[in-house]
Amino acid sequence: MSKIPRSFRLLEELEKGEKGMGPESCSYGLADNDDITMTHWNGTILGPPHSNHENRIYFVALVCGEEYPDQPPQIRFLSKINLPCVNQTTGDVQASSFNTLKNWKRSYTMETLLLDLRKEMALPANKKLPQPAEGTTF
Amino acid sequence: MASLPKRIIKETERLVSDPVPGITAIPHEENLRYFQVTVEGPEQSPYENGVFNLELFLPDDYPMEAPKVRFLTKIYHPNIDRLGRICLDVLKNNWSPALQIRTVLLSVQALLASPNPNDPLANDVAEEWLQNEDNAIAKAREWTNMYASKQ
Amino acid sequence: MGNVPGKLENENAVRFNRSLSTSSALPSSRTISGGPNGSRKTRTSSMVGNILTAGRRSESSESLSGANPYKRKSTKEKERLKERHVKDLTVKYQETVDGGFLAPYGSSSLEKVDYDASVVKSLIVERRLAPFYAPLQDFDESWSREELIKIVDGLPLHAPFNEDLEAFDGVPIGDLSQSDFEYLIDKSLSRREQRRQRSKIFNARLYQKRILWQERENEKFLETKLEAKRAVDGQRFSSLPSGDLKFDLYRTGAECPICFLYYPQPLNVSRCCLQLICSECFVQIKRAEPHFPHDQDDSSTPADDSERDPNLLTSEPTNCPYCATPDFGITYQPVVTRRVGLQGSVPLTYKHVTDSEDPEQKEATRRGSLAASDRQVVTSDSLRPDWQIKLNKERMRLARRSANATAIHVSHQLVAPSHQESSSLRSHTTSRSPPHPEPINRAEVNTGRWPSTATAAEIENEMIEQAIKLSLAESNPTK
Repeated sequence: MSKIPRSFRLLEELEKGEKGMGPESCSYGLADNDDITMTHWNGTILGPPHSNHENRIYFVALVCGEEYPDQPPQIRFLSKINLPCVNQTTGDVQASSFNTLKNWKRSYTMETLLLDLRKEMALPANKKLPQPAEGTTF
Repeated sequence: MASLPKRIIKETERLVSDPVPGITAIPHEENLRYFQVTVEGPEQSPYENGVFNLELFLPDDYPMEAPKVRFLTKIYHPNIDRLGRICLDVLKNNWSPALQIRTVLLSVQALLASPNPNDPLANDVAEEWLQNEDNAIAKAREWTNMYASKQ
Repeated sequence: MGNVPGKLENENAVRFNRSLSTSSALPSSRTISGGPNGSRKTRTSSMVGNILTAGRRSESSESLSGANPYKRKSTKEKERLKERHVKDLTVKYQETVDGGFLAPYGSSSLEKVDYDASVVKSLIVERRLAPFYAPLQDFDESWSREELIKIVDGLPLHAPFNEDLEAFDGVPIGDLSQSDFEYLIDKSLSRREQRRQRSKIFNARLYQKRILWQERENEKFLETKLEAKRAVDGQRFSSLPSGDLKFDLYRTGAECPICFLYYPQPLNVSRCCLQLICSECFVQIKRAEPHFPHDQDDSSTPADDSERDPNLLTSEPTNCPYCATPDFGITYQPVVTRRVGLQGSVPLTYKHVTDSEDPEQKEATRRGSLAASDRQVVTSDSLRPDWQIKLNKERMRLARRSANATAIHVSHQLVAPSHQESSSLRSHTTSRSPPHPEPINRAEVNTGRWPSTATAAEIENEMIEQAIKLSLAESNPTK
């Protein structure tokens, strides 16, 4: 089975994001349309219903390094959020406490990551965690 | 690891044994479906004397599916966007499994010789091309010197 | 993979196999008689009857379950059909036509070979489409008869599969001998997620089954070949090709211009420009997925499909890969002196016909192009006769989605201001948008959906209409 190179994989993800072919509950796009290396990305996650995140939109920044998708992107919350896997000072999502990053597979995409973070928010243990005021940033 | 299809092996061999003038395509050692490509700007085009780097990937379903091709060198062209994506019919709807790596790259080279601002991918460039062609061509030449010079 | 126990085949398939193997012992004619159309009917062994009616039977059972092809099939029914298709893709050494097979050699993904297997099998048995031959990677003119036969003997029935696909990495498959895999699905997930998981597991299981089923046939083939070598009496191995057959097939082969593999001649010939194409490649050429006309459909215009008129969705017939003539089709003209296998003589008794450097073949060679409607021609469309249904289904799906999207959007606008944020979600993350929250710009939201010329009244009317649709949709419990 062939391995799609980083750039074409990112172009695929970009196209999916641009065309809105992905799910409604998250979105992502290049931070800078001139960035031929396609390293920096923005993403949003719509807070899951029946949780303290309902109706909130969380902004995240992703960095797809040279080794992507063999290695996961770095992902950081820009919007303040209280989640066990998010560093409360920097907003970084910590691989050690977030399974999707910890057990990253090449077939995972940025969309996988955003959707799994959303699932994390909806976990019974997390959904009623007190949240910082809406609109605040790290 | 499934073995490389005969077609890809033969095409690669033929690219070496019978190269296309002004075009090179060399597979990466660790991924034989992934090629590093150079295309020389056609004579009498604003891209003349430029050498453009591209990357090409043959997806699993090649040749039933078109190769994926992208410019790595910045280029001012109405059908090539800022990420190097190319708007070219044979890479999309007009792909045919009878086409090959070499024919695709020749088409890319031909696209440099005849930009089509009426079917743009880079809208700002296309607009400039339609409104002030001389200016656009000058700019394309300038970018070629700046980013694609042979030295 | 030989360690998975149990029966995978359902009763039908077992019965089907049995009737094949019994009938293969007594094909009716041993000699080559008559012309190309000679006594086709009398030669029809029960084997052929089985293969052809198997297809027909399935069609009728489908139409029984619902005469309306647009009727939604249950997940189980879809899975059953998919599984049956995969069974049809298994190459069986007993099912041969002129030294080739009824299923493709390559291990292409199922999406690539989603043709109607009963149609393709019938066409091959009727000698209207070249059978699927095991290809040679290379051919060397200097090979002796013995060398060539040895190489052909070494050809497997089917190309090896990639055992661990990345796509199925980590997907549980459970016990393949058990048809029920409900227990593998995480019931704590939402229903939608469960459906997604089910389809993942099903596909992973199907992939392994495909490998398993083919390996079983490979083993049978190998065992038979070994037995035949030892046995004095070759009668029981009548499905195996004779030395003459192997030699005749491969000594004058040709390279398919698409896959560059070397196949026995004659190959299929394009109806328009008389170019060669192997069956393996031909069956993979199909209509593009339904799409909007090209002038609008460009990756540079990021448009949401739900905003377009579903009736504009089109699907064009395939073009000839060589000359781009629309409505691609081929013809196949078998070698009349080499009619073996199904509806032919016994492969094992085939003897090279001397003194016929294929004069008949030369005469039969087509010189001009033929219309797509010509009786000899097999078009791409005929291998996937359901293309029109697929197109209509896609139109319907899009129409539903578009109604939903508008309705959801409108409801966001009507209900509460805070809800607007979700509808503007997408416009926010496109490039250059500041990476921090900012107040929602109502105008920006609107421009995405409504033409700027629309008057407020028009928009309002549309919104009310959609809101009604939405409430109707919500009151429908199946939604």
